Amino acid sequence: MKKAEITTSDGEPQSKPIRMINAVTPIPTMYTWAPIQQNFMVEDETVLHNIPYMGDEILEQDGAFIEELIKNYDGKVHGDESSGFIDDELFVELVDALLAAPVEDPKKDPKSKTEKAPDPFIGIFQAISAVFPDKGSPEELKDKYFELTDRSHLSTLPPECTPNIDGPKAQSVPREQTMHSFHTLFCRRCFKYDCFLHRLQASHPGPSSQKRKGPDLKPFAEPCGTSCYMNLDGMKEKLVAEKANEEAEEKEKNEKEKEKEKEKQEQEKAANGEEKDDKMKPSKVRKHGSLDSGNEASSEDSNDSMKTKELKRCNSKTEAGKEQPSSNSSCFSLIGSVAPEDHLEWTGADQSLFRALQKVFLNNFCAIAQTMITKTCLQVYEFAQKEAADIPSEESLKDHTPPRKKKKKHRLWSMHCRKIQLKKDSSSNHVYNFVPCDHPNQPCDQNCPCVGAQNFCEKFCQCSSDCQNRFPGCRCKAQCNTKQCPCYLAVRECDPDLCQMCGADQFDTTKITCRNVSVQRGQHKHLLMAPSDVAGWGIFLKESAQKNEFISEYCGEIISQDEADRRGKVYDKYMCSFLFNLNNDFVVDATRKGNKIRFANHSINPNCYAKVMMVNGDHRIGIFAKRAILPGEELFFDYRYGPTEQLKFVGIEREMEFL
Amino acid sequence: MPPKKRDKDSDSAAKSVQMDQMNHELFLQAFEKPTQIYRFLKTRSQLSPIFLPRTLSYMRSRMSRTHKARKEFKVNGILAQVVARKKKEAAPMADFMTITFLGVYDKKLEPARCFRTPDQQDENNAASAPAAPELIKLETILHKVCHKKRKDVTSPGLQVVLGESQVPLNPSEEHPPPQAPTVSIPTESFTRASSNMVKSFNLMLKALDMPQPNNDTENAEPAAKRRRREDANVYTAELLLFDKNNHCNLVAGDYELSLKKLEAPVRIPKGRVNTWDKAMEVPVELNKGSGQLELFRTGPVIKFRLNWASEPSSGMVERPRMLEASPSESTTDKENSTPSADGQNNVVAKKKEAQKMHIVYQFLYNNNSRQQTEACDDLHCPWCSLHCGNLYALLKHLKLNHPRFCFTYVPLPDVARIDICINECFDGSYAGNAIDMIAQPPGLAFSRDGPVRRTCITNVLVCRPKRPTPSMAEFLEPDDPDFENQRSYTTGHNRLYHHTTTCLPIFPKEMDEDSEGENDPPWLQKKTMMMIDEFTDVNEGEKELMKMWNLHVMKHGYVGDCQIPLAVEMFIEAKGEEVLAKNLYRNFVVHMSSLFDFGLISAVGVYTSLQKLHELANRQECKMELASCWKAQRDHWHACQKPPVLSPNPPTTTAAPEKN
Repeated sequence: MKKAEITTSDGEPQSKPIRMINAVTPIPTMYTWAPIQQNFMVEDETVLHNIPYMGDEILEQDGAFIEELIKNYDGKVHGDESSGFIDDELFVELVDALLAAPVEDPKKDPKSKTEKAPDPFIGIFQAISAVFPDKGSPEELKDKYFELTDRSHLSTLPPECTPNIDGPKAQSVPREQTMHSFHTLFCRRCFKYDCFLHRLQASHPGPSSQKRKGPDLKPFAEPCGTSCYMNLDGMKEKLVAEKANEEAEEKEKNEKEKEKEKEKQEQEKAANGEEKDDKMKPSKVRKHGSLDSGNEASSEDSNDSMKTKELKRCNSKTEAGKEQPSSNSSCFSLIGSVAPEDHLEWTGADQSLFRALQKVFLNNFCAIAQTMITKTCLQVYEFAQKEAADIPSEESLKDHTPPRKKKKKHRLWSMHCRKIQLKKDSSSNHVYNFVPCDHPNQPCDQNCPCVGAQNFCEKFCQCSSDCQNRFPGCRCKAQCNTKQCPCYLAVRECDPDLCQMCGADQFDTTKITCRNVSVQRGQHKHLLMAPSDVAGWGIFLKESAQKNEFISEYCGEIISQDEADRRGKVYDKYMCSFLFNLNNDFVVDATRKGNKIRFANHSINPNCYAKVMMVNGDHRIGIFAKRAILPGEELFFDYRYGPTEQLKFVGIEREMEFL
Repeated sequence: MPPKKRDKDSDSAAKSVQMDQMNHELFLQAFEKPTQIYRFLKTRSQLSPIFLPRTLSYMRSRMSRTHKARKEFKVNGILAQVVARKKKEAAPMADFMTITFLGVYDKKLEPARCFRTPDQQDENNAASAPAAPELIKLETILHKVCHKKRKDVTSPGLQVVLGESQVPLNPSEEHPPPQAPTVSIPTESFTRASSNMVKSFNLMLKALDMPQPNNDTENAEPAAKRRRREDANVYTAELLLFDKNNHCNLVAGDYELSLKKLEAPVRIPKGRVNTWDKAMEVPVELNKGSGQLELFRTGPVIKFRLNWASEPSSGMVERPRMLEASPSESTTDKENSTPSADGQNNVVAKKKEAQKMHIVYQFLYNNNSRQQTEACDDLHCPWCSLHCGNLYALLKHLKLNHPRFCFTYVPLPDVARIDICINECFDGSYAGNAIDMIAQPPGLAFSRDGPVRRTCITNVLVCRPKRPTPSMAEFLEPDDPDFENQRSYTTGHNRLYHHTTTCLPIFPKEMDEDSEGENDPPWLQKKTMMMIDEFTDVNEGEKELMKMWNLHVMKHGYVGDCQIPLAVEMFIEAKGEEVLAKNLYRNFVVHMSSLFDFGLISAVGVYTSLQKLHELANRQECKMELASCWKAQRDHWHACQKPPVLSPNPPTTTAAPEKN
């Protein structure tokens, strides 16, 4: 082994073995990016955040480019305002810090001591005003300070914020206020609060009052305990009468949909049920629930896709029905832990919670009490009586669009198939973003935004589930990867709420036979990044892929077309663009956020292709294998000719690619 | 070479010469690196060959065996083959090896031979003065060399005396004695079965009573005297009969062995093992007059004839005539006078002669001829020294094994010219284990801490391309870079992968996990929490619950309305305890009623899932904590003295039943 030797000034030789280190080949440049597996919508940037750096020589040569760029942002460049860094928060902090500090130089300003009592701050504001003249006069600053501090002194929360229902300061507020945060922030499409994809969209679908999933919780048949409201004198009789009324009402409602004989039969049944003892009632309730929908389903064509759905509901109903009698079982409660007089008090939290729950459980006071855990059933009942005046008796569950007769479903189906064909034939490249429609009491006709944009109505629309413009889903028993599948034909992924025959609704991905759910389930291939054989970085397949197999979703930031225009100018200059046209309204930009497939290079003879698909109401880009791909092969797709010309900006194509 | 054409050139000419010189420098530089690389590869492939050139389809001339036997080959026939071979091997082995001694020749005792008179110069041998050629007692001994044990200095041996015979000393060639003594050795004595330890069999001839030449040096006198007394002037010669592989190299023929004094038991080289191609070296030694061959000229030599016979002969037989040595053999190896071997050598030499071809290598640089070698008929590759046999094989070899150069074949009337230029399109990219490229320091294969997974870079390829019939035309045109065929035959992960966010290399042990492939990367978890925290009109309880719910949904990726009841169930399972511990029970209830409002869960679903949470609460014994929170709420409610929106519960009209 080689040794390095040195003789120190003392004449003492020192040596150390030399270890050679390999030269490592440099890797291509990469700009930082954040990994995501789902698209992320961002707002337009109205201010140029930074002047892009492309090397000194380019900036010097091409000053016009930067000028033009700044013009795109109306001359707004981040950090242009010289004193922009002092904001309200900083200002308050500064004043507080100066107040807390001891007076440094009392001799310099002897008057201030005497003045301090009436107006202790003016010196501070004068000083601040001197340093930041653009922030206003000392008086203005003083007023601003008081304004800012007063608000923060009043309470730590802004006035519009409802106190925490679990906190000690909980207040009694109307239901809308209790639910406000949950209702406004919840994304009905992503099932998340303040989701990344839809939070910026103007039409954020709120809760739709007309749709109720599954069965209501009927009042329990038996008293839940000794303090149950049913034990009140005459209560049982009242309940029975109410129930009869209720059922009669429902029958009336169903009248429109049902044939009259059937209805009468039911009424008889219901009447019979009333006379029977209480023990029979839970089963009757269940039966009734299934009559609501299941009966019809069975009378329908057995091929109807709705049938499975409703059967499922029936199943869940029966399961739930078994649970219902368990209301008597000892359930968790806090009542026992306090003195009897203490839980008589209805605190703000109790009141708010009751209002939130009453809409869910309606008149099932037992369930409400059990859920509230701080009140007895009887107390709840009595409180409900007090509240009754304030609450609208029954929410009208009427649909906005008049429900259609279910028999027409066959026609509906054939019409959809025709529609899909029409859509294909017109072959317009204009694919518009889907926005759930909300036009109460109007059917989805030419005025409906969904129809106008040539999109189907989705489950997120506020229209009736029988809307003609809805996509019916598929009833495939196979893999949904041929044009036999209407979903596949319509370039849609199977909707777990519409297509259940193919297993699209299964949560366990191993139980899904459908191959048309890869994007939503994120069933991407394992990809590996390495320096490309062509240019820069490339992406390589770890395992093999068959033809038309899903490789990965092309994820990125969703930006508007205008924003893409602005960003694209910079990217074109860099000769490196990750922009991908999603539809007429939006572009996917994988520059800042993306997934590994962003490293796939362009080729005119590619092994992958891109397809924009409608996935549960969102357009998403799937990358699929164009031919069988072996492990370790680099992935390419043609940036230019996608089915809908996805890529708006193609960076200057590299010479090597045309060899 | 830059030609110095004219001395009287002007400035411009001088400049052009300078330019020329520079170009030449560049030319040398361009060819230097590939040449060095190929020279290195040559040495490496000599030390540890990767493949045998004779297996290449275009190197047929190097393949000495035919594959004809393969066609008829059957597995079941192996035994029969071996038996047949064994029999064949045994065939030349006759029952007896008969050695007929022709005489002992010592040139120093020339007069004795010439005049057939008693050697008056032989002062030592006073007793003998016969008219007939002096007879020398010769002992024939079979020397069995056994395996050397580790501790032994010399190989242990076993000596069997086979017989004693009287051999004439310097018999005249013209008038040889009519009879010659013979010794027959039965071949059974060479069988190894008797003792496994025997490694080889040597024939040892011991000449006793050798007369001393008169020109013996004086200083050697005392030693010689002593020897005379004790050993009676013993000379020996040894001949290897069977080597350790049990091969007998001896065929019937005349042999000469030089005799040596026993004093130094030097083993005379067994000349028979020399093959013809080493013969070239022998004359050199002869010319130098050094080495063993010198002994044949000066020292005593015993001549004998070796025969394989089926019957033993003993005593005296008729003296056979000397065999004629062929002229070619006379120059090379006197020891080795077997006629059959000679014939073969000649045939090979003639074949070679017929293929002789003049080859000129012309080096090109910038399309200018830069250097030309002399015409030679050498079919060795100039870089590998590999003998290619014919011109086609040579060109094919050059083209395939030296891709850093381009070779073009230019046939000329009496010479084959090969143009060589640098291959600009040579792809010198590394094709080995990519991980080794980043191993720092390199060569850590044996100094790692423990076993680690390594990438597999072995590929088994089965490729049966259609081969065009060999023709010289394929070398006339330089290859077009055909990109279709550039596709590598191997597929798989023969490159170094990097982590997508850090660009750090992925080591083989990390290959199987899909890094950066998860649905909820840590930054996104943080991001969603921060985004919720940013709201000013959402209280802390709501925020906390929303964060928990978001992380839960992000992790599991629920896709449809129909999965929400399951999502709630899983949420309670995973985070129910946390919800209770963080005092978020009512927020969760509100969240559930919100889901109900969105039509994502039924009232029954809400009820049953809340019951599940109750079960958890019962188990968790967090009753106290919830109770204390409730108490705090009540205390605050009383303390605030705020007129409630709705009047508090008045005492019940009916008698309240007892609490359960």
